[in-house]
This record gives sequence, C-alpha cells and structure tokens, in this order.
Amino acid sequence: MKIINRIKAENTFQVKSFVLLICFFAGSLGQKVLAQEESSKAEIKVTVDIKDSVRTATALLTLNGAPVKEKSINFFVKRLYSLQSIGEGATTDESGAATIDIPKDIPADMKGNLDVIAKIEDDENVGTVKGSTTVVWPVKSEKSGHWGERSLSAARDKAPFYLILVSNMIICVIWGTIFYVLLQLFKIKKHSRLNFNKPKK
Amino acid sequence: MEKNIHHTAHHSEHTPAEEIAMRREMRDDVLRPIRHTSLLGKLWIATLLVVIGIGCYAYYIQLTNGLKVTSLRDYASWGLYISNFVFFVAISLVGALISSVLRLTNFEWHRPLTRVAEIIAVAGIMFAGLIIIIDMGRPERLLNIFIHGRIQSPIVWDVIVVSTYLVTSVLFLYFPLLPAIALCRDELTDKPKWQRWLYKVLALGWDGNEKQWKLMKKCVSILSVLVIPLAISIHTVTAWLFATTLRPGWDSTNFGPYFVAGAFQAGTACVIIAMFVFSRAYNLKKYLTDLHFDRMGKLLVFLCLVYAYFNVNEYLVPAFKMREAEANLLNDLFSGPFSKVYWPVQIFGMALPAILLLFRKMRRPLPITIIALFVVVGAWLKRYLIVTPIMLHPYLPIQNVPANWASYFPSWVEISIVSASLAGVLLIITLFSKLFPMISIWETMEGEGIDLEEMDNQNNK
Repeated sequence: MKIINRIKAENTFQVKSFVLLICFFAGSLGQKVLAQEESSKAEIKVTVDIKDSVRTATALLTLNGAPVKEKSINFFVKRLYSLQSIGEGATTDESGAATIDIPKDIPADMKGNLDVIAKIEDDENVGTVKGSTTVVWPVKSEKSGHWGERSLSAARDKAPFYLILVSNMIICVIWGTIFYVLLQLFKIKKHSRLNFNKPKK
Repeated sequence: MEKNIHHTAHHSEHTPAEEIAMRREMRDDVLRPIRHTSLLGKLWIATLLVVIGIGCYAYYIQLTNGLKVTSLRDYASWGLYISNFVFFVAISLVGALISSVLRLTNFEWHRPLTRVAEIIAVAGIMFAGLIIIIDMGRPERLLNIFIHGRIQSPIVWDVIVVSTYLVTSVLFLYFPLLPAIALCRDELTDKPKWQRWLYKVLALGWDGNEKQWKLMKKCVSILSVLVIPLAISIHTVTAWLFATTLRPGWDSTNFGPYFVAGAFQAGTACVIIAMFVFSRAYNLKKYLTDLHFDRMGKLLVFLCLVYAYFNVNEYLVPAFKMREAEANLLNDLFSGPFSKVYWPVQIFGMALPAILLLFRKMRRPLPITIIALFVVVGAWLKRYLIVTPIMLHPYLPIQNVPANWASYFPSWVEISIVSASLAGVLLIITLFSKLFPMISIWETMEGEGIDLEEMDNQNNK
C-alpha cells in the first residue's frame, strides 16, 4: 500500500503554542491494503561476498518465507547524508536471489565499515522492503589531504598564517595610532594652565 | 563680519582689532543656537523622541516574540534592517571625504563644513552598529563573534572595522572641537550644572596655550590621514559581506568601489541638506554661504557621475550576458516588480541630479537641497534594491515553502524600528548642535588667514 503523508506548509496553522498538522492520505484502499499486509511479511537478506578482486552483493527476497522471483531490486551504499546507488539493479531468480558486482573502488567509512542496502519500492506484491548488512570493506575512507590544514574555510584556530599575520599587523598599526592619539588627550590636559580647584577670590 | 567668508586666502587682510572683533562676532554667532532653542526646535526634538519611542516599543515586541514579528524569513533573511545598515555606513563615509580628503587636498572651502560632516559620520556609524544588533534578533549573541569568531570571516572584519571607524570618527570630531568646548565652558555659564560639568570635563583644561594647539593640530593631521583607509575599508568590507557570497547580483569584484562611490554620493547629499537646515535654522548663512552650496553641488555632480559609472558596470555587464540566475534578477529589476523602485532611483537619485546640478542656478541653496533630498531618498532605496531582490533570487529554486516567503515587504515592527534609527541619527545631530558649535571657529578663521593659535599665544603672554 502506498501511503503518502503530505504536510503542506500553507496548511499549517499556528495557534498559540500548539501546532495543528493536517495530513492528507493520498493512497487507495482495497488491493493495496492487502499488499501492505503481505509486504509486512516480505523480507530481504543481504550478503556480501568478497573474494580477491570479485566483490558481489546478493539480496534474497522472501515472502512469508518463500522466495519471490522476477522482482527488481536496487542496491545502495550508505553515504553521509543519503544512499548512493550502485549498479543498475538486478532481478531475483527462482531462488529469490539478485546479485550485483560492487565497484571495487567504492570507499567504506574511516573504520572500514560499509553498509550495503537492497531495496524494493512500491511493488504491488511485496510493497516497500529494505534489507541491509554491514561488512568490513578493504577500501577505507581517508581524510582529505587538506583536512586540518590552515585555510580560509578552516576553523578559527586553523586560519592561514598570512591572514593572521596581515590582519594583526593592520590592527596593531591602526589601534597603535589610535592609542597614541588618545595619549595626546592626556598630554593636552597635562599642559593645561587652568586650575579649577583653586578657590575663587 | 558683514562680508561672507570665502576661505581662499591664507594671509589675513584684517587689522588685529578687526580680527578680534571678527572672532567675537563669530563666537556669538555659533553660540547663539546653544543659548536659545526655538519652539520649532523643541517640537522637532519632541517629534524625534516620539518616533524613537514607537521604535523602542516595536523592538520590545521583537525581543519578546522573536524575529517572527518581522517579515524576515528563510529567503529574505536580510531585509530592511540590513538595507538601513548599509545606508548608515554609507553616509558615515562623508566625514572622511569632507574633513580629510578635502583637507589634505587643500580645498579651503571645506572648513566650515567639517563639523557637520563629522557629526553625520559619528551618528551614522553608531546606528549602523546598533541596527546590526537589532537585526540579529538575539542581541546577546553578538558575544559569539568575540568568543567564536573566525578571522577568516568577513563578519568579523566588519565588526572590527565598524568599531575602529567609530572610535576614529569620534576622535576626529573631538580634537578640533576642543577650543569650542572650552569656549562653551567659559561663555555658557548660565547653563544647567550638568551641562557646565560636561563642558569642563570634555574641554580637558583647554586654555589655548601653544603646546595644546600644537598637540591638537598634530592629532587632527594624524587622524585625517588615518580616517581615509578606514573609511574605504569600512564600506569595502560591508560590500564584501555581500560579494563574498555566491549570489547573482552580489557575486561581483566591483562591489567594494561601487559601495564606496555610492557612499560618498549619499554622504555629500546628506551634508548639503544639513548645511541648508543649519544655515537657516541657526542663522549661519554667513559661514555656510552660497559658495559652499555651489562647490558641494559640483562635488555631487562628480560623485553622481562616478557612481553612475559603477552602476553601468554593475548592471550592464551581467545584462549583456544574461546568465539564467542573473537574468531572473535583472528582469525583476528592469521590468518586473522592483522596476517601480529601480528606475526612479536611477533617474531621480542619480542621473537627473548630475544633469541639473550642472546649471549654476540649481546649485543655489534651496534647489540643491531639494535635489540632495532626492539623492538621499534614492540612496536609501538603492540599498534596499541591493539587498532585498537578491535575497529573493537564490540559485536554488524557492520551493516547498509558503507562497509569501518568496516575497518581502517589511512589517510594521521593522518600519518602526528603522524609522526610529533614522530619527536617532537626526536626534544625535540635533542634540550635538544644541550642545556644541556647528561651525569650527578656528578652522574657519584659519581659512580667512586668521590664526587663532597665534591670537591665543598673544593673549597668554
């Protein structure tokens, strides 16, 4: 069953501290409801096989424990903010298995862990099903060659030396001059020949 | 002093007795507005206070409810406040232009105008800093700039340069004012106690001795040199706040000089208006003469033309290429919803003033003041056009947000606060003029070839 919860911002009314959210059900009942019930029993198990230079991911699709054939499964690896698609996808065979080659140069995280995900979306029989596995991958992510270096885009304690030097020099020259001028105010006062504290005759 | 001061001669054409009489007369003239405040003047101050009061209430509403009471949203996150900030920074540059550039380039006629220009600069930069804090919504977060600020960030540069320029401008106003404060201290003995105390403290015991004159003039010379790079820096950094972002309309290497040129133009127009008001309201026509209006008119023509040159660069070059994002923005400015503001600003705020002021009759006090008013209003609206339309034209399309987020019109809170800030600038200038002479006696008389330092030294002997 396809359920879309659409929250339209223009239909969001704010009343004091309460927020009323109006949700629209954009699906249809009937067959799709049944599909949803069935899909809750559908399952994908993902395995990754690493043998020398051949690295494959296999997704096994079952419905109520029975393999499901001729279903298109898409494969992804988890990245920082979203899923990255790998390959064109594959179709399950008689045993419910779909296999793809994983690109060898795809990097895992810095610890060497790679999350491989297989997914079917909005299928009329199995609905949306997702399976994943985490494997130890030979290619680790490495910090950028410029990571931690001084740059304009780095943190405050990693500002470029030239910028620190030039900006501080300018600030010192300007404020040094200002302090010099301020000092002259005291000198002007010091050179005064007026004595306000002298009692008036 | 019957004849107008023309400020071209360095050598006095007057006898010592005439010089003393002129000095006495000028003292009376510049102290008169401080001695008495007319009913109109009191009404003016009351009006400004009312506007400020409404602005303070609006700010209370903003502080208690947050920025949601403004029309600022995700896209138009910079609106009226930042436009106003840029305008205030712009007018503050005139202090450097009149008091420093004209001083260093020996344009003697600038002398009676220095104080007017300097107080506009100080008031402008004070409120520029204030309006930024107001725009932040959470004012206490200003501290984060000092705690977590990165020297790589233009925001930090701006905070540094605004505060430095404020201090320098105050000093640049204060040093040449010392003899005038001492004059007030000695002459205005019938004023309230707090005012006499103020004069006494601020005068720093000025008695016009040789060493004090020497120190004061040395500092004025130092500051007049220092203030030029600072003034250019402050508006260039303000321009970089925009130009260092990747946005159509702001992504320009031209932005620094474009802002500086516009600032000199706007500031000069402000000084012309102030000259007219002070010459009429305080009866200072003898010092702020037709000649000054004429020269300021010529200066304004030059600055309008320079600014027009930068405008051509800023709009014609992108319009020639019409890349998609730029094209959307430019179409909105040239023929879309902003065209109703864009064309009047360019025509009445820049092009027409440059043409009209070529005629001598238009450089007479009243016509030039009316023209300057158009320039100032145009300059303010120009800052609005620089800020707001660009915010509404990001590279990524505006989607999945309420329809009203894609447009911007300031709320009453923003309008009230900005009106209060404009009133605040005018109030500072007004109150300053009610406390201190608006014409620098020693600088003006020096232009006449009369050296007050020498006169004081004679008196002190």
